Amino acid sequence: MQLLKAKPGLFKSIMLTAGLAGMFGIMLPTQAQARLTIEINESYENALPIAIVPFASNSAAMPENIAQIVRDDLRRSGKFKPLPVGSLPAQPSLAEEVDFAQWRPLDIDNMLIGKVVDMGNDRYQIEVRFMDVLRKQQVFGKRWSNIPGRQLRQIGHLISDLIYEELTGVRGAFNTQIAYVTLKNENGKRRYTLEVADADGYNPQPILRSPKPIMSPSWSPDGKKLAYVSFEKGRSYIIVQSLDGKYRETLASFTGINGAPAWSPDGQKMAMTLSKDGSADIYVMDLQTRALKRVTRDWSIETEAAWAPDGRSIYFNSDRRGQPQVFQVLLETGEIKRITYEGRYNANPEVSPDGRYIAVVHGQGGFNIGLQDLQTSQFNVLTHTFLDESPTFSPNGEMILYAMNQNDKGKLAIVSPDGKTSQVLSVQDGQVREPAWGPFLNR
Amino acid sequence: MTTSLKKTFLLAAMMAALTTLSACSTPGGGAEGGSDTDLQPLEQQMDGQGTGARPGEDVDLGVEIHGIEIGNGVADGSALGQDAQGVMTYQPVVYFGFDQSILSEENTALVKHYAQVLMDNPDKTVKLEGHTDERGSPEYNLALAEKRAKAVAQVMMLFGVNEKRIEVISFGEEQPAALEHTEEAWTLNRRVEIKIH
Repeated sequence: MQLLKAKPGLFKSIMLTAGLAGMFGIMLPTQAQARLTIEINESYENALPIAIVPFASNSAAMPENIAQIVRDDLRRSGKFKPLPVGSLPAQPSLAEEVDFAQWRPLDIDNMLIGKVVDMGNDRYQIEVRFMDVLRKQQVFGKRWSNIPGRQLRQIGHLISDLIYEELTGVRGAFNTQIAYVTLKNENGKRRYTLEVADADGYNPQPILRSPKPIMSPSWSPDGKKLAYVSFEKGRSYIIVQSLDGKYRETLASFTGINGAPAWSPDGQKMAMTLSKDGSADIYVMDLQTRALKRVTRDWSIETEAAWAPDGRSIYFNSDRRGQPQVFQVLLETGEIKRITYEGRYNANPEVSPDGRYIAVVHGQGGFNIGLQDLQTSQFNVLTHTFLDESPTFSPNGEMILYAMNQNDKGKLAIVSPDGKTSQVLSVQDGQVREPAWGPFLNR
Repeated sequence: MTTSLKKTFLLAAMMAALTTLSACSTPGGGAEGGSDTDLQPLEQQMDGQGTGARPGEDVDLGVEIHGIEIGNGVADGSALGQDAQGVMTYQPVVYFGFDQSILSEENTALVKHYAQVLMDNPDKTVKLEGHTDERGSPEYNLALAEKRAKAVAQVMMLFGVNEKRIEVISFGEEQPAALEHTEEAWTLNRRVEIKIH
């Protein structure tokens, strides 16, 4: 306790707790959903060894093993190599219990210790300290009080985020959510479910179930709503829905296709693809007035709008040169620039949060995820799986989630922008596709 | 409208039955009542499946017809005029190359044939349902499938069919006719289904 930076830290904890409660308050009641299982299929060289010591606790039956959640998060990032618990020389939980001399030989710079106190009535207090083994001092200490059992995983992800930011300088994206569509056969019928889960695949929540296809979820910048394409009325309509299902509205149901919704960075507008005036073109709808502005005007296909982070331009896919390639339109002037040149098929542009990279679906015989560096004009093929599509950046830009097919099954995979495949996410009894990584949640 | 999954699941069972039906020209089980209504579910289940024929087979007078004959009809579009007792339906399908939306000469002839069927049956309307294979980007495929269906619509209009009788729907890659992840399945999935009602 004396090592916690007491007052500001505590204040932050309370805010955090309120924030989490708010977040969970709007969720649909949990149903028995099969979660995404994660398979880490490549080990990383150069990952930094780190010790995540099992947390002490006053109860044998804790609903979650927070230290293990942190360990898994850090390992999945590819940047850290948590030491096996069996190799740890001791399991201190308080700062004064740490004998630094014991930890020096492990060749680690940092260790995390902590404890969880069961306060009764499914309420827990979590206290962690992140220690610098070389300097023999605390890097940070944090305490969360009065946390219900179902939020303990979130606390684990928050701890992972703090460690990640401390050691890499980049904000962690473990405490974020992903949206995706599962497809299952139920008695010979196709069942589509739009789901939202934690970034590690846990806590899946159904957002919409439908016998008809669901496509292209796009997160509102505040993380509270999804826009998506639903065929529930027999053709593609754009729907906006809050995660709790209390708000649901058809945004676009024009003649022709209504597709590829993309929320503007300020949350005020929705870019979309409509073909009401002939061929598929990009439009921007003002979400307040519903006024539509046509952004592209061409006989060819223009679709898959992706906003630049500054909201002043839109990247899109057009086959105006015969095959799909990525172009950029500057919204103020209408000026259009071609962005991709590598190969014959570059579709579905997704912009990295810093605006530097464009991830695309790249066709070159097979279909893989490619990355265009706007700064250097370099183009790299990142993935080597089968039928790769629908790339989506983590909000910190450190990972790209995409859909692929493995053993005749639709799965999700995560790759880092340097091309190291790190993990595969799948559901037990169905296909999973159309991923969209959600924004940072409030700290 | 039923899902293509249903179609696919029923396909195996239906195929055997249909082969027999076509060969023997005997009324199908679904045709007992002799009315269109009774047949409806059966027709719908078969949507887009054709007889399972690959593009390029079943050439009739230079026109590719991937139709299913149910009951006593003749393989002639004019039979559509006799819907009450005629009990015959076509599910013609136009196929495309990868990332292509241009009709081949053969496909143009096929579409022309159905344009004529529509001209001969002024009370009928047509739904053109565009599809792509699963490769590449789903939203691009949604637009591409519509482009294909609109290409078919253009040909129909060229041969006199009023735009108002044509409904274009794009399903992108979402309703595959074949579920495998093979060239063969992809070939069957890049299509526009012509549905005359």
